[in-house]
Amino acid sequence: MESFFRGLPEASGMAFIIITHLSPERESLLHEVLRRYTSMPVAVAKDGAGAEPDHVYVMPQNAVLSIKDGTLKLQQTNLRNRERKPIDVFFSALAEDQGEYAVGIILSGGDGDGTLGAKMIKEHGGFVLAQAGDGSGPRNPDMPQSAIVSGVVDIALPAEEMGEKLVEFARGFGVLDLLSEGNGKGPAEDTDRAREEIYGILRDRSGHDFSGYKTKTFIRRVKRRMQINQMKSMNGYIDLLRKDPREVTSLFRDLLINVTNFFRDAEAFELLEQKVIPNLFEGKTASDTVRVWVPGCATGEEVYSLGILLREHMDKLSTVPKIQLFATDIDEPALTVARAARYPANLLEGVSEQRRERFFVNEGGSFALTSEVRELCIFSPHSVIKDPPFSRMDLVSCRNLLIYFGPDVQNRVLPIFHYALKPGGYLFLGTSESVGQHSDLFSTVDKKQRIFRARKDVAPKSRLPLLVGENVKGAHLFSDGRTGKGSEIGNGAFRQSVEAQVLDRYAPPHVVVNAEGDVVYYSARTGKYLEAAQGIPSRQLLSMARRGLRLDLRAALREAAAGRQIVMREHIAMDGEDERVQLVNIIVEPLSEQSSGETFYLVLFQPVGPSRDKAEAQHASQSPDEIAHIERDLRDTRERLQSTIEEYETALEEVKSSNEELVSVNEEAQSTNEELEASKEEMQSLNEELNTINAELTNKIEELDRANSDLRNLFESTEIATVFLDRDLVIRTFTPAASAYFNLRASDVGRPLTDLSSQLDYPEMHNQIRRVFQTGEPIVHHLARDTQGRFHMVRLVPYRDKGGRIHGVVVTLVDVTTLAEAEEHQKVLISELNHRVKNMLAVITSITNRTVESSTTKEDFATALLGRLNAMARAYGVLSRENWTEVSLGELLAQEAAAFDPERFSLHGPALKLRPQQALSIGMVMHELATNAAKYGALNKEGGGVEVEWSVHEQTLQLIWREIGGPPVTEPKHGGFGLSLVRGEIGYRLRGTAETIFHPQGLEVRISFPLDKKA
Amino acid sequence: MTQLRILIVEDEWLIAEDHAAMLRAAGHLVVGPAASVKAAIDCMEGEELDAALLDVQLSGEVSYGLADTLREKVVPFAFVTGYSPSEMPARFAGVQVLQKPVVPAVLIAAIMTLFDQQSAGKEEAGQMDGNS
Repeated sequence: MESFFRGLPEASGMAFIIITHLSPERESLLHEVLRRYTSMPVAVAKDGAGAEPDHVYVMPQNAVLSIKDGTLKLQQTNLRNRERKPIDVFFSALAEDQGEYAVGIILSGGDGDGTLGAKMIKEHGGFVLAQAGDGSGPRNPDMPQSAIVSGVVDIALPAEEMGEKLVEFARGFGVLDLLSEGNGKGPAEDTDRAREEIYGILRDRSGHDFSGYKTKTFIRRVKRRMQINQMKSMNGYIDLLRKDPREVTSLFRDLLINVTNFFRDAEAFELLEQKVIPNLFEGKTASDTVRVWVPGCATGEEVYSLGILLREHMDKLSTVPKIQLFATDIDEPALTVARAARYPANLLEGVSEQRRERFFVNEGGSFALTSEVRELCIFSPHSVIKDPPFSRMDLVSCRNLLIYFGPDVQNRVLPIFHYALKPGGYLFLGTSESVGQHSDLFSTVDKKQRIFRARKDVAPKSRLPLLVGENVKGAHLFSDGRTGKGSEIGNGAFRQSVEAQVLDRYAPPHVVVNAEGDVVYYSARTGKYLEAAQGIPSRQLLSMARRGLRLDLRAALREAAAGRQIVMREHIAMDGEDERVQLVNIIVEPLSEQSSGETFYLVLFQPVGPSRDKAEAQHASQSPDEIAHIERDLRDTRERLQSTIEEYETALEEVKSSNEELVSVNEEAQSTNEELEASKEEMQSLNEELNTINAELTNKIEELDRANSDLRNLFESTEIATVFLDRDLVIRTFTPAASAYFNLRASDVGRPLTDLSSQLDYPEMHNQIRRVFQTGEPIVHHLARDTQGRFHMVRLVPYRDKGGRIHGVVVTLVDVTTLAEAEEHQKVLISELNHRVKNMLAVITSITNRTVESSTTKEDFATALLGRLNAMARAYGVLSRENWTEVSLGELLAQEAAAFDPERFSLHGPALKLRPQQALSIGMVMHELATNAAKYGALNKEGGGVEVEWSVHEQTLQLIWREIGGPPVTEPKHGGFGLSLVRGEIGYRLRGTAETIFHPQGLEVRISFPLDKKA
Repeated sequence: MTQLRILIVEDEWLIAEDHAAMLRAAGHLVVGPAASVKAAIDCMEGEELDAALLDVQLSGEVSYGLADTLREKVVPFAFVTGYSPSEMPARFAGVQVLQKPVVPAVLIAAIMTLFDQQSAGKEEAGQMDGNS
């Protein structure tokens, strides 16, 4: 199709509808594929869509397409009733709908689909093309071949050339339309004259007279041929006819193209049904057979029509004999179509509703014959002219075959039919055919309907043994008749006259016969021995020989022909006239080879003695001598009879056996054929599907390419180094990131990993990979910090296929430096935490110990301890709020003050942040001072308060604690724990100083410590 | 019972005082306590030491360098710390590590062990001297 569309000129003005053999299960993408080859719009055919010019329509699967009034009609089929002849169906619909404007193009395909439909297109005046080899020939030539051989194709040519021819053909319409219009006398007269001329040409060449042919049809056919040959005038065409005999043949063929229908000539078939068929069955029992032969069966419509009639009659009988319906033709592709037994609906117009229901299965667009008719028929190739005929037929139906033959061949074939028929068997011919000169062989049952009957006991039957087996030349369509059999007689005038006289007076009477037993020369006075036979004059010697001579004559002729020597038969008793008996010697001698190549035989009749009275002869025969003589005669006669009978029997046997062989071979072949048909059809649809699948696969491959490309992009976008290894540690593929670690290049694919160096300190790699193969378990391994301070994690994972088998290993390297560092940091933190907690516990332990030392009662101990612990907790609380970064001094002090009596505290100082350790110390210090003030100092007395002031000088914090309005204080004799703690924390811990001044109005504590040192 | 002179290096005052109290209660003499490596070196100046207790994590520094110095001076020492022994540098593998908080008994026992070590060391040193 690709070359067809490419070869098609633009804007042809034609609509293209594409039918293919599609499997109903597959969705076809043909319309998409076609879009690539043509600029015309391609669409899937829809029911009710008009067929627009310069458009392409594709039949979808699961449907049957036809056309009416230029509109496409779609019929859905189901999977079971798959339409097997979609092309025939569509072509026949197209032919009826579009007539001369229909074109059928048969491309490649595996069966005979399209042949019947193409016939219809031609019948209706359309144009048929088929794809031939050369260039882009059909991939599957059976379909176009079948059409070509059936003679329905106008032109067979390569697909790419079809487009041009189509355009030429279309152009031709305009020209010829002028011709068909007979306006006024002028053109009409010309047409008539031209017609007469063409009739003449045809008659000369074919011997057939078409003047009785339907004029309109005739003109239409002529016009078509003109269109195909691009003739613009009838005169031009007539010239062509005169010049080119092939064109005459084509025209002749076209004129004879008649689509055979079922029950063609309904009246004739009715007659058959009523009169003939019952006779065929009469007197036949279940062990008998009704035998029918249809020579020239072509595509089988006639055969199946007969089959239906037979089957219908069989239904009426109680005892049913066997049926054998032999259908033959030399056209093998037509036989294929016939065997398929499937026809588009248009051909079934002659079939009644009832018969259609009973004998056909409707498969969507076409009808298939049921097996009860199909099995009656046996199809085989056979030539009526060359091959031995069938025999013992009850009916021979040969319609529209003879018309193709010249008169000579017709004359030869009719006697063959007579031979084939049983006596009284029926012959059924086509309209305008007749038995011609052989009405001696056939009686007429109905002249109009062309039904004849074979006469019994007719002489020409005896011709057959001489004919059978001889290599008779085949008939040509326009064979020249054989010019007269001129034998050469005489030369030399005088000698001639002398010899003639001698012959005339003294030589015995003689005749010369040809190989077929016809007399070609009579001498004088043969009247005694030969008598004209009753009926139509015949030149057969044996028919004319008088009684008594015949047997011996025949034997003698045979012997002479076989042995090519003189044969003599003596003392033959011949019945003379008036009841007299004459003894005769017969001499048969082959004549020397004549220049025409034929063999002739000289037959001489020699009388022996006078003619005797029969009574005399009989009487004479009473004497012993006579008796012996008679007995001898009798014996001879019996022998002759015997040998004749044997000859007959042998010949019959030969014919019978060849026929039987034919039948059995055919029957075998039929069943094989049917099997092959089925598988062939499957193959065809497979082939068609494969084409579409190919196109789809291309699409799939493109998808695959895209997927691969996506994968590649994915690889490149990841920064994870991955290497895919197979079982032998050979690199299959890798991500770009991997090349950094392993020094990989694209060409390294296919090399084993071991070949390559790596930047990793990973000596265990190979062992671990091996372990992965063995166990099938992934392995995760952390590498030590590399020279650049990075940490890496390696994952070795088995590469499994869909079935879970290990085909290789995937090595993945991930930079886990941040992770590792985080882990380390975590370790550090935990360690820190441990340290701090333990430290804190140690601190609490010592606080407890010290508090115990300075407490007297349990209650005191508890109060003091809890107070200090709570102070610590408060300080830690503030710190943790600030995430252990820095703490505001003011907030710390305020918090501690809040634990006592915030109203009594006044806190002044710049905003200042303390480090954690400093904050803790200050917190505890504050607590001790406040506790002390609450116990002994300003906070103990009504109206007393505390002033806290701080400032920063040169990175040193100065903080002053001043108690006011308290009771008078004096330095204690020995330092309490509280004050020693103050000194210890500030002096020891913070490397500062703490000065305690016991003013009479209240305690003053001066604290200072450096701020910048890490604490 | 021999009175030992023991250096305490500990930055947390309360803990330092606590340990000092324990040692004094056992009859020993406390050198320091020092809150930093520098302070410790100042304390050691011109002092005879029998043993030392080192807190590992001081304010902003570790005491490993000090430990090395003590080793040179053949002064036995033990670490008192919140860290686990596994976190110590390898060279101090055989050194005692006391986990805070330390109970008095453990502390005293550790001191005695250190004293035994010291005695052993001095004997060895003495022997060596004697032989040379």
